[in-house]
Amino acid sequence: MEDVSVRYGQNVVLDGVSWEVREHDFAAVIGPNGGGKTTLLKAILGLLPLSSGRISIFGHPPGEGRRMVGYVPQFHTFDFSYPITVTEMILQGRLSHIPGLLRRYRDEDYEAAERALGMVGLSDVGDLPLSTLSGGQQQRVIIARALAGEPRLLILDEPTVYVDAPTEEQFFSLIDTLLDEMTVIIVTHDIGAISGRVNRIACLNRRLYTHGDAMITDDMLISVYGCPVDLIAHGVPHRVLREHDDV
Amino acid sequence: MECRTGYSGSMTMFEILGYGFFQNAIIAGIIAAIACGITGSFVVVRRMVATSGGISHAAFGGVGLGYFLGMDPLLGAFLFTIGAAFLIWYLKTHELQETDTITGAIWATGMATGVIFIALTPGYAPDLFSYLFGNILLVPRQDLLMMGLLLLLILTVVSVFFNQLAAVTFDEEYAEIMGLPVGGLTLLLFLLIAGTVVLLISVVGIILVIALLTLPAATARLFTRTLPSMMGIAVLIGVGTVLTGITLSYFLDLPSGAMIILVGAGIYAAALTGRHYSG
Repeated sequence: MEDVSVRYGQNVVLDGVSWEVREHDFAAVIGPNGGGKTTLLKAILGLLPLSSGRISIFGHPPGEGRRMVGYVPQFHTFDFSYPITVTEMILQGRLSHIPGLLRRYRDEDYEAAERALGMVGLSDVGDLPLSTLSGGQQQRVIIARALAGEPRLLILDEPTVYVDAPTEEQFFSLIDTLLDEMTVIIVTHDIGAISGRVNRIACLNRRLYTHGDAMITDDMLISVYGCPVDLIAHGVPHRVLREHDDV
Repeated sequence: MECRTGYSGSMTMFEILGYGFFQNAIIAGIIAAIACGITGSFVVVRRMVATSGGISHAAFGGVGLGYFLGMDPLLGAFLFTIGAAFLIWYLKTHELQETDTITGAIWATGMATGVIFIALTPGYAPDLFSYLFGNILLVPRQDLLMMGLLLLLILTVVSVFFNQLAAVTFDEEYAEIMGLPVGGLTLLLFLLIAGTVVLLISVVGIILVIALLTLPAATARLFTRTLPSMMGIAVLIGVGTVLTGITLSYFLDLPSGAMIILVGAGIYAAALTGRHYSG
């Protein structure tokens, strides 16, 4: 993406953001709440218009590139009591591939759904209602829905917020296996969780501060959060104390 | 006002089934129950109960218009529910207004319009009570054909667009990412509600429509884990509710619309209690 800006009225949410992620990268966008992380995601997915700049996904604009993108939204946005089986939910990840007015699921869609369930290690729960799964399983089902679309780029929004430590380990080993086949971008404010796992990091607080070597330095955090942040503890609450100086 | 077609003498169920008006009531009730089981399931899982209330109460404006212009009040109701569905959808998607704010405004404006039209109509408004609270025992035979066609339309639309409607009611944002026409599908849902409301008006009336739209579906949700089976069970519960309500109404000589709703609420309460105690 090059020089991307997004405004809501007078409010500049993203200001001149440029970033490049390469194939098979495991990239992370970190930054405080309200720093524009969700807006950045929506821009990549082509869900909102850019005020200026350009986004390219494998050479395509976001609207077209969407078919190559798998999106895993935040866990808490789901109504898990909705009457739907796991397979039916995952099939919805195929809808962008199905031509025609009716959007009837074909054999290849069922096969893709089955493969996606296998990738997240849940092959035996396809016929179960979504509501009967554990939280960790539900999280993997959401990932499987994104994988069913056979994406080249997987984007995850705050995937580690509501999971315990063993589930988190399981989650990152799953991502490891996916990296052979696709690029993964993770958006989070949980710096501790991603530290040492990703190979490309960008810090977002209206502007984007990129660091290709994936080392989180104190200087970097200070420039983004405006305060020193303890790297050892998980999910320390942060407060932005002052405006940025440009880096 | 309410026309009492009450029980007198020692008639049995089999004898009253011989009456044309009772046959009409049963056919109308079954048509309405099928529609409310299907549309009602979308309403319950997508939490569109308030929107349905707004659309159904707006129908009263159309009933008033019907009296004022001397046309069939049910046709007026149809025009107004369709109009309300469009308006709520437009304000929600294009002006980004909160759905419950728009719904409240349209709800009251529709009712007020109806009151004004009826006040402007010279003379007495016959059957007004039936439009408000329903009287299924008075459904004329010619209405059945229209109700049947409307049901057929609803069934066709839902079966053609089922996968997309399910996706948009489950996760609207993801449906948009999948490239589905989310705006159009949302309008389609609202129009389904509008059509179903018109079917239900002659059965339970404008005021009680929301209850029949939601009670069978909410009961079905307790026992099912997929949307199609929820719809199927909601239809069965709806048919049972309406037929029991009509029969009780006839033998107890009490208003049919209210009896149907009380039966529906009773079944829902019993189902909730049963599930609570069975763990």
